[in-house]
Amino acid sequence: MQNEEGKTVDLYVPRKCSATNRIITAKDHASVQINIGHLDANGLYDGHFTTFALSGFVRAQGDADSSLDRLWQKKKAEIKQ
Amino acid sequence: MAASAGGGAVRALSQKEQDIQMMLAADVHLGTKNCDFQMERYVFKRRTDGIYIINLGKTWDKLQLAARVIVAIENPQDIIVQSARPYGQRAVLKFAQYTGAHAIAGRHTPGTFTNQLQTSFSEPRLLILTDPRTDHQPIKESALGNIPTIAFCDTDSPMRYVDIGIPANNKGRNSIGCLFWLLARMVLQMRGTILPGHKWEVMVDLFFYRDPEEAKEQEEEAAAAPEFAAVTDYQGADQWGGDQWTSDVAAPPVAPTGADWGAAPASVPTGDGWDQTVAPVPVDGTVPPVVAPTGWESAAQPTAQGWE
Repeated sequence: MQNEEGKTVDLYVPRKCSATNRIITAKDHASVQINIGHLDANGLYDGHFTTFALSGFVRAQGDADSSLDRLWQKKKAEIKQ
Repeated sequence: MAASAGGGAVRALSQKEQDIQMMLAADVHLGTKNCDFQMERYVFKRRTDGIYIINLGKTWDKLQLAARVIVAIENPQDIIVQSARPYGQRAVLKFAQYTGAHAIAGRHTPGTFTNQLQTSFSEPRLLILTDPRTDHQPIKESALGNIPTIAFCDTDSPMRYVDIGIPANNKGRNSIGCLFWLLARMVLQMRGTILPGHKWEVMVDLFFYRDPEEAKEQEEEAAAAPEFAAVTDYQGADQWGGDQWTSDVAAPPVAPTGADWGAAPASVPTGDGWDQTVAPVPVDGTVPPVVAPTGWESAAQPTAQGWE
């Protein structure tokens, strides 16, 4: 959170689910963070990757697969992969 | 740029078409009669007998996505490949061998990802499964340990806690081996182990499950050489038997020798009788003793020969 001056006063800023914008709390052991590697023109991995975080709620419903597909399709179009 | 993009697309398309043909040959496209609602977007159509057909283009795309996730992990040892069903055990071991991952082929010990007291405890960064229904225990434990999961999902597989579901037929041995081979080759290509434009020399047959009966048949074929040796031994035994028979042929000469020896005692009493004749007539006795020794010597020599 931020104070009236606009500065962040929290020591720990939790991650957010990329699919549903839910806060991934410290006790959410079902949440995952997936790194999808980037390839160059020759199809070789170049060391960079895109990170997606999914909360446990999304995974428990079985929507993790479709969410990851949707997120990656959009990101792939953005970064020309 | 458009031309170069087109060229890249053509080459990638060609490789994709070859892979899809291989998947068709391995029956990867055949699903089951039931369909989970979250797998409906991968279904191409339904056959008249009720079996769903999986769209292999989407399977290939998901394989590529899974390979990207696998290649993004720095230490391949942090990846666990798991298959509890027998059909996927050989594929899992071969995949782990070529990509450097850690394979668990067989029963998953409950607590491997959660109970740090166990010797087999590990905290992987990625989990690859063959079937979400059979390997449900590692999926549950991955949900307690923040572990992403990649799984080969059939049309009726539950999708809970599966982050990347690759739609495929995970109930055929050729299908499972083909999928793991494709995934391993994609990972090696992205790493640069296989240079772009080169083929992978490892045959896809290495990833197929082999029945113990099949292995036993090969062992029997290998045992054919010992059987041939056994036949040779039998012939040797025949020769040995022939030798014995030759020995039996030598036995008949022994019998006549025995008869001659039997005759010898008969001559001995004759000698005694002759001695009695010598006693009454000394002069006549002198001449007979000369003859008697000669007869004795001649009789003795044949006897000795017979005895020898």
